[in-house]
Amino acid sequence: MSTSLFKPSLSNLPRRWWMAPGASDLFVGLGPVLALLFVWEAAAQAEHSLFFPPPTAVFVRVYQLWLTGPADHLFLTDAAFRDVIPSIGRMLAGWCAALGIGILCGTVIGRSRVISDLLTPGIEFVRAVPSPALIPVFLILLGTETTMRVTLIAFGSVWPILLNTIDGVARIEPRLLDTARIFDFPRSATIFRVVLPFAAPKICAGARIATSTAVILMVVSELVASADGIGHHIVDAQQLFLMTDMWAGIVLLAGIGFTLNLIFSAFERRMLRWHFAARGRAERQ
Amino acid sequence: MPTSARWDTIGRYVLGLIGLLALAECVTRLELVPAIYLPHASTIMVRVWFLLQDRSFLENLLATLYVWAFALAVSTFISVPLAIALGSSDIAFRIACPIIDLIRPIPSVCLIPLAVIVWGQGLFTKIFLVTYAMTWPILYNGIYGVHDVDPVTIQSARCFGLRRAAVLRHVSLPSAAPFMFTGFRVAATVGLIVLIGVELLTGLDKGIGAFILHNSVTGGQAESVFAAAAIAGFLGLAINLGLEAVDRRAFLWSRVDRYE
Amino acid sequence: MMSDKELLAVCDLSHQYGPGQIVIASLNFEVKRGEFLSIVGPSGCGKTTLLRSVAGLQKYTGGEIRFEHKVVRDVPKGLAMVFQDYSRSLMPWSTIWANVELPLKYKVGLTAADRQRIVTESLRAVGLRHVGDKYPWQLSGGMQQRIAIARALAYQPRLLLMDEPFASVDAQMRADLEDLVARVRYEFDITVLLVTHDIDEAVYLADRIIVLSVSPSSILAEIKVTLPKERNQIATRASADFVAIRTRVSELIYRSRGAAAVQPDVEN
Repeated sequence: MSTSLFKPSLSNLPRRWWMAPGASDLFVGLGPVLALLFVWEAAAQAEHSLFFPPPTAVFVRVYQLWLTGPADHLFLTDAAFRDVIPSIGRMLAGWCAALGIGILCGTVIGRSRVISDLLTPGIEFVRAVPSPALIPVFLILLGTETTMRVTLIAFGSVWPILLNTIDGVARIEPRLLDTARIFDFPRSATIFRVVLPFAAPKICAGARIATSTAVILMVVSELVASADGIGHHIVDAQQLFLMTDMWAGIVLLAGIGFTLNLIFSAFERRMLRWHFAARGRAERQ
Repeated sequence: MPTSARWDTIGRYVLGLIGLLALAECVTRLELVPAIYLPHASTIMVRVWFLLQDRSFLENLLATLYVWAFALAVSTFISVPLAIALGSSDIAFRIACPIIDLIRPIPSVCLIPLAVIVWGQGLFTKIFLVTYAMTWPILYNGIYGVHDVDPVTIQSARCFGLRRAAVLRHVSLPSAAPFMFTGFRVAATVGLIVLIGVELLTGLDKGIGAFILHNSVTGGQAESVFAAAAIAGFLGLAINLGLEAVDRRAFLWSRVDRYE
Repeated sequence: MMSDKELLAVCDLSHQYGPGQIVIASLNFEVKRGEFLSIVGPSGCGKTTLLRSVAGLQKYTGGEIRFEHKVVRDVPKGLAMVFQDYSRSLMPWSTIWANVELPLKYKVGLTAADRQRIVTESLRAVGLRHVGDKYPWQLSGGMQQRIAIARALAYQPRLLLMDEPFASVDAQMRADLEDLVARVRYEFDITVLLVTHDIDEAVYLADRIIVLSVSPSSILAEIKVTLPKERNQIATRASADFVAIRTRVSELIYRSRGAAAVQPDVEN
């Protein structure tokens, strides 16, 4: 169930001029968001609340904090390089590690009913332990540096990928496996040409969940005992009572999460074209 | 009576758990990290046993569970009607989607500092954050569940003369129920993790997270920290398995893949 | 008794799933090189179990199966199979061309040029020369089954197994596919073992028919089909020989099903 900002279908709505394909997508997509911002702006200006600054002030602050750098640095300020870039980098590193480990182990485990039966309870248990509770452990084991953060992110993000890979691999269509056996495929071909492509939709679903987990853990790992990072920025702002700065951080996180989702959706749509098309056709028949 | 295949599976589950415990014991005894920081698995298990009988820990445990249950109820109360409203109207759906897409990625953890400033360090902050976190999965799944009902089923109902409200009641809602339940299950498990995380990061009030924080700060209480984390794990597992069992019984008819 | 022409020998084959669940009691037959053998029987008589055992996809519990004089324990080389549910055996993420070509990539001794030639030829033989770039879900059911057949043909198997291949296809398409198989069988000179519940189809296509009883199954009869080599949906099916063989097979099966036939409930 992937969602996108720009939904192309306009099934039953009546044809009006503002319902023309491209225009309506933009209108429908951005419209509500702009309306919401407008309402917030009006309310904030009217109320002058200390805790909820108007969106304009927040966006200006985002710009001031991170986007007023020199052109050759992509307009990014030092603060951006100190906080934002490393944060995102750690998150991506952790997520990629989780992806690699998750798919590798998931495939091995999923292929064997015995192994998956043996390991599933253990996996479900470790997954259920709240990752924040393990921060003290990680702190002790690995210190407060990048290794600890990346490991924490990877550790927390691997579960949805692992479990979804196991599920996708285990539920391989028997006819496809039969086909691979009849035609005498070597094992590598069976795995890379049959099993993994078949499991790809499920793996992608797991990877998508893992992106939001990775963002969460990125922030969590920076709220505690940290010297830099977006989470640290937010906590810093909180302690100095700089509301706009804090909101700037939140907005930045929203933007990052949203952009990641967008990129992932686009990638997923491209890679799983066959899956969506086949499913769409089945539904329409 | 489970078939022999089922007994095989159960047998392997049990064997796997025992194996895992044995492995954990061996690894921790290797003392790659000194035992005061990473105690032996057996010590942790013993501590779990003691904690479950310890008055003060149980108070923390129950505190967490009360907040969890309350937040779950509130978020369900908010999300379900909202999901039905937004999912059943095409226009409302189109308007809501972009807004949800934008706000949903904001992790509740980054709202912790904000919530603490606005409402202080108290129960309300905790409840607000957890409810916020729980609302999204239920809302998201609910909206899509209601919106993506098989059009053929709806058309069949219309052929029988059912009006809009009746279609909603007899077709859309039952059809969406399994999806909503999946959202509910995700909210329940994720909500517990968020709750303990919030407790841990702010030491707010009582709770398992607060207990862990308190014990890791005072030092030398690694066993209690791990034991509490293990108990939290069991709790999450029990909730997930319990809800999955309910799902299977209640929605036997819906065996479609439901992505979380 | 081994002869040069024998490709497949099924000796006293039996299979049971558990205590008291015997699906195949005893089967004995041979498939000679170049012949088309149909196995027909009522539902649940273990036809699919039989075929899967022959293919090595399933272990059988009694008796022996020999393919090219070697005992079948795992999947032997030189086999191809066409399944009833074509949509689940074609790979939805690959193009038609890739689907047909894939098994050839793992066949020893073929160059890229060889593969190109073979795939083109197979697609032509099934009448779908121009769909190489499409995806399985873009084709109709009948076309997908034709692709599955093309893929099997391209592999140049020594024995082609077909498990109720036309059961999921509409009647019109079924007739076309039957004619397709009848034609390519001579064109490519392949040995075919077809399993079906459709008596007409079995008689129309085969050189020889084996009729199975209900489970626990055994062979009721082995019938040589005395129809001419050139067959035609209208003329052949109206011919006296066809009707005679068909009637005989139907009788055998109906009698075997006997008490299992459906009766309406009678109110007293």
